[in-house]
Amino acid sequence: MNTAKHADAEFGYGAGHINPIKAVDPGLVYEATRDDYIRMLCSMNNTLFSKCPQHIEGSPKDLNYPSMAVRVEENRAFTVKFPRTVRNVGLAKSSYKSNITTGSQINVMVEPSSLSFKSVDKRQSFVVTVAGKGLPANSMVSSSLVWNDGTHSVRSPIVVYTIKPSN
Amino acid sequence: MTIRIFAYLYVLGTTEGVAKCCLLSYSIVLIRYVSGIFYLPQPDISAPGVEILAAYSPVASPSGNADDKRSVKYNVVSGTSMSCPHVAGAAAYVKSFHPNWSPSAITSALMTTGIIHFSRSFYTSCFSLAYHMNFIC
Repeated sequence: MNTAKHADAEFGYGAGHINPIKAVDPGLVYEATRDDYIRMLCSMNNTLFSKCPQHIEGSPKDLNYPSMAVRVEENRAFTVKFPRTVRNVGLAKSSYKSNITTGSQINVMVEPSSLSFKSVDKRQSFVVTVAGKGLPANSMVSSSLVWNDGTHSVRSPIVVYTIKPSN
Repeated sequence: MTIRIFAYLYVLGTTEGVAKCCLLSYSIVLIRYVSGIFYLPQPDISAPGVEILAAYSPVASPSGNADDKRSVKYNVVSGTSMSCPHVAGAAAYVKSFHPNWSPSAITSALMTTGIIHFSRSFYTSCFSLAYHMNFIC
């Protein structure tokens, strides 16, 4: 599965084909709680629930999800930040380096670019910044972030698109 | 995988890749505000969903033709309804190793370990499916 063979790319095959054996030992996990989902829904429309705060920062892309997707205005320069937090479920003492694959249309950075853990269940946060000079209408650009400690490979697809919503 | 989420979240399955790769069906998460004015697709996960031996209603026509009066307990069918149980089974498999993990942790484990690069033979072999999901045997 790659973009050359599948025009739908990540909107076709998602984060990849399921691999249960590897999934048992992922190394790091992205977690979101019930409250995180409520906050995300409130950020879409703060009249959705009575408990939605009046002013809410962030948008749905900020949900601590293992994939990162955002729609940007066509032919407009953009800079988008994805805040994420991972929990160490692999080796107690581990050090992960980030690896980004990207094309010429977008620039992807992760800060910090490495994560160190001293024990299991510890959490570390980072921010992925995606910037570009503008994408044509009805297009999408794929990228990915992989955290690697030499044993585990924790991959997140990143998608920036200008495809308009349809009902 | 979004079994315990909210009424406002929809799971959209797509099978657009089927013609190109005969053994997969695909699903993504589509989050849509209930009035239909907001939508946010996010890449999720793929699982086998084409030509799957599945339980089948004995009162339904196995061919879909109303004149077909046969009754079968199993049928070979395709679609996200066949893909979804593979993901549910894989989630249960992960949970059997980590009973305390949250649904989101299991989702993450499945997504971040997904296979994205297949060999050419994978594309051309329609029957290697069992091999790729062979985590029980």
